[in-house]
Amino acid sequence: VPGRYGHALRRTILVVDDDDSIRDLLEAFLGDEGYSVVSATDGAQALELVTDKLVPDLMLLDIGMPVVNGPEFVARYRRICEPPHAPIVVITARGDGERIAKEIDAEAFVTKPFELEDLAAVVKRSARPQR
Amino acid sequence: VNELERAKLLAAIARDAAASSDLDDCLRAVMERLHDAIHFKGGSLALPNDDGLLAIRVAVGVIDEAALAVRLRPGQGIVGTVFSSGRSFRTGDLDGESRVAPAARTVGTNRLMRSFLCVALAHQGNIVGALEIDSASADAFSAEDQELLETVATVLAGVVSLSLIAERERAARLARDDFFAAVTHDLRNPLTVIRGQTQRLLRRHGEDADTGSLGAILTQTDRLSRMVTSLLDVARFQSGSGVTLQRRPTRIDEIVALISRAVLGPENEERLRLDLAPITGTVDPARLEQVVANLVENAAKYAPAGTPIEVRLVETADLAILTIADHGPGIPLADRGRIFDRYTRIAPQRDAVHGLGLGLFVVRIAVAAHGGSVVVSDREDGTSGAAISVQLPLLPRDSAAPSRT
Repeated sequence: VPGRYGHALRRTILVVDDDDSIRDLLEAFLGDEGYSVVSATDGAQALELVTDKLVPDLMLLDIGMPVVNGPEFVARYRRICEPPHAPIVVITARGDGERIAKEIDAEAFVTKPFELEDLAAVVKRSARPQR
Repeated sequence: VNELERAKLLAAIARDAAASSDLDDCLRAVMERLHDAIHFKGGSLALPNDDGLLAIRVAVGVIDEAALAVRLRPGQGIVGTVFSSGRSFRTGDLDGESRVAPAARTVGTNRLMRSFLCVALAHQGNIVGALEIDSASADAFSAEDQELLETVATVLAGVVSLSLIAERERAARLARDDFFAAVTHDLRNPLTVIRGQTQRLLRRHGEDADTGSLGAILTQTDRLSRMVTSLLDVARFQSGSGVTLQRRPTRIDEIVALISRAVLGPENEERLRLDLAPITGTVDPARLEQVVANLVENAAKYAPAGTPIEVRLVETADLAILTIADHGPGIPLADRGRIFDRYTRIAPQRDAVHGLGLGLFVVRIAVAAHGGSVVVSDREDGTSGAAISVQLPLLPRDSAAPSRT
């Protein structure tokens, strides 16, 4: 049952998407699933979070975003932060999600609109194992 | 240049024009041929840039940076005047020519010019550029040279026009693709949220909630999502960009069953006759959903209420064959070739049945993208009704298993 491990052992997911309603959905759903969710509205905000103590177990990353877009964020994150780096799942409404996921060496990609069950399975499979 | 040489030159130029795929390569090849045939010092071809100013696109012989950097308004200077009037200009002594602006004489290599010949590139009444050759000797160019240059200019005008049209079409197509991609992206975000939040409601309050209503929201959201994908596919097809498939191993029978049921809805459950062999193929599941949805929707639209809709899936060597048969009026032989065109809706039901006429067009695009085909026929049992069969390759053609040797 999700969430049974209690707060201290919850895995943390960083959601990066510029669409408020998508962030709300992901926060709510992943919260239902027992994850601790932190979200950012673009790559710049996400960079601030990961350089300021946040060590996510997975990142759900939109591609097209203002300020710092998905691929730019990934490049900077991997340059600035010490490995091991968090696995990344690309989440996009574009038709070329698969290609982009390969290009930025992401774990997986999910195309909008997605099935919640599918998203849950991808997140479970891709997140870093329990620390 | 004698008559025979002239004919040879023009033939060679025509060959250059026909063979070259790059405008600049073509213009350069032609200018170099001219340079070999006519004795001139410098020669250049000017085309209007995006601002409408004439700029030298290709130059041969003696010509310097200062001359290359000049931008002329139509009507300005000799080249600008030829460009705006379409009339050729030939002089054997530039210094005695009243139409030459004295300031222009001191620009770069212009100082060394005495003879000057300039003709317009005109194609179907439009002037698309100007071609100029010059010489340091007086009276360097004859009336025959002018005639030759005018003939060459006609050929080049055609080449330039075609290239401009192609360039504009390419730019317009890219702009359209960007636009449709942006629209699709913007539509998919709200669809994702409606779908996701509805699913959450169903999961959390499943027992007490009105699951019928929530289920209907999900079904219709999925229908909207398919329409968005279809419209994008049609748009991309029309702009010549083609459909990008996301193939993955897919249980074809499961998608056929799921989508057929979803499209007909619970109220039509008993109309659906499924006869599906379990088949896995490397296909694009979203496109397969479109195909199934559009064919079943189409059958339901044209067949009388309550009549059965039969959906059959069989496998041959390397194909999945999906057949959807109804008990409607059937499709007249004469219409079978064109029902897969866009916006086609056949009489006599045209006025009674609503729709854009895009459904079968989308089926054709999606199936063709997989390397498959669609066939319309009568029902096998000879009763009235239409049967549409989709033949879908189970593997991409290029990665199909090698044949035994």
